[in-house]
Amino acid sequence: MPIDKLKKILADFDSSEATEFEYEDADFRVSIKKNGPKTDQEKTDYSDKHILSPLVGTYYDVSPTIQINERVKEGQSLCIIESMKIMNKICAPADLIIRKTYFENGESVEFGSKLFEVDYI
Amino acid sequence: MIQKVLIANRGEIAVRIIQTCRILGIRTVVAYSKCDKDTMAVFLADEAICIGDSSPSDSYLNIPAILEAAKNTGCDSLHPGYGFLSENDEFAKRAHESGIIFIGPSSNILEKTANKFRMKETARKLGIPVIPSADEDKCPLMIKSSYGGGGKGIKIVKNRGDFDYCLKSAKLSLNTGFSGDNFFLEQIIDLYKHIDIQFVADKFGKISILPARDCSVQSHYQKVIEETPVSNIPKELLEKMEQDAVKLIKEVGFDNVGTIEFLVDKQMNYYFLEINSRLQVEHTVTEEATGIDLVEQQIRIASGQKNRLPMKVSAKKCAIECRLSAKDNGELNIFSLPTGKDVRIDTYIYQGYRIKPYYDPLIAKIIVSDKERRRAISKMKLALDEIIILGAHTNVDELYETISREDYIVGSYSYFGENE
Repeated sequence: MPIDKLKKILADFDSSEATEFEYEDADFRVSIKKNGPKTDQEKTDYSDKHILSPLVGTYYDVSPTIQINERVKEGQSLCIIESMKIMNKICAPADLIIRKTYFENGESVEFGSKLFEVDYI
Repeated sequence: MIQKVLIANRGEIAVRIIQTCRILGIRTVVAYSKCDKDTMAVFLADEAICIGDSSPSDSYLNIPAILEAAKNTGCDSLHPGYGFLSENDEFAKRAHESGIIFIGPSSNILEKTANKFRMKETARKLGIPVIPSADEDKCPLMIKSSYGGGGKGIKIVKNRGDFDYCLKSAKLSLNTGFSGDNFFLEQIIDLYKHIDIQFVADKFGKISILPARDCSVQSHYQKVIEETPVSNIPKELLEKMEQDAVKLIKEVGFDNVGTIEFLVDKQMNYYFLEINSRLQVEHTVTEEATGIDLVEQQIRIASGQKNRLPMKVSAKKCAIECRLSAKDNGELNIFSLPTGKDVRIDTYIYQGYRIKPYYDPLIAKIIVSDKERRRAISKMKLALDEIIILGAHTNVDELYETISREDYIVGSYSYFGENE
């Protein structure tokens, strides 16, 4: 199968609601699956009012430091998680108000740690 | 000596490593995946740190997350267990570069031993017998992968016409992520026994050979029942394998605990198969038969200490292990395992635990020992009889049937799965 055709299939599959795709012909077989829990996690769950850490690392404030009751726009940086010397910006998934912060500069965070409690606007 | 270990694994082996660390006064941190928060290792370790999502690629195979967790929790070393990243030279190298001791052989040794085809060539050059190569016009033959593990990448080709199909399906079964993987072809041998030579080697070149294990009861190329010492192979043949093992260990410069695997055919020829550069699931039978703690040996050698074992360690007892596995993912409402004299259970499961679909289905290892092999078999039957599990199907009946067989009792039984 030409690579362009495969790329097209992947793109179409990605944007579709389908979670599994299989195709087979005389000399080619492809089987694609969407990882269930992961896609759920990537979507913002507005019922959970917490921003969770997507990785293990060290917490750093952004400048200026995010304040409680501050209004934040979608895409704005909330904090940085440093992992293996890489600075990973954690951004607001939507417009929101910060209600609580859980970490101080330099503290260790685990995968899944609550970073902020928020109210989505 | 190592002070604080990050355990980059899960299940019973994570518990096993914690046990030895606690005896040695070493602090432990378990790096766990999101769904493993309720496993025994997390409860038993001094600290636990969540490193990623449940899928292995996000957690137990996630090198940056594991190394970050080790640094973050102040560990000076990490134990990779078995499976996952345990034989990954890149992982060992990056741990070393981050100032963390990898409890296992050095990365340059892992790089050599990981490639099965290259190791086979090394053995052949040393005059160690290897399984003869085949070409695709002479079927039946066996397709093997240089980086396959746990039976993956192995296919038997019965007829020439099936060759292309078999090669494709061998490739599909792999998914190892090793780039540049290649396949090689071997003749089919009349397989009788799968023999493990367990050894301990230090950084100063001292090698100790421990009693060999018979691992000839398998299913889909995965071991199911193992025992030591080996009862049904001539002593001279075992000694030759041990001598060849020493040659290979020296050639590679191996500097920790490992195993050399051999196959023996029905005509009593033996062939080098591969080196396992990690702790093995069945290390338990060696421990029970000799009284040596192999995890302790790994830790001492990785800390730079000398190997103080004799060059040849003999078995004081016969030990047998059965691997109890789940056939489905259920919540274990009732979970009761055997107890009593000379019965060892390595597990991470407790009543109410729900088996996770993401990982290996091993629930517990049942190990028994006795001075006499036949009495050890009787003890194993009793132990298997005492297992009560409700909530998931297991292989306990198959284990019981196997160890009750006449040919198992006399030591001549072997089973390697479908076609072999």
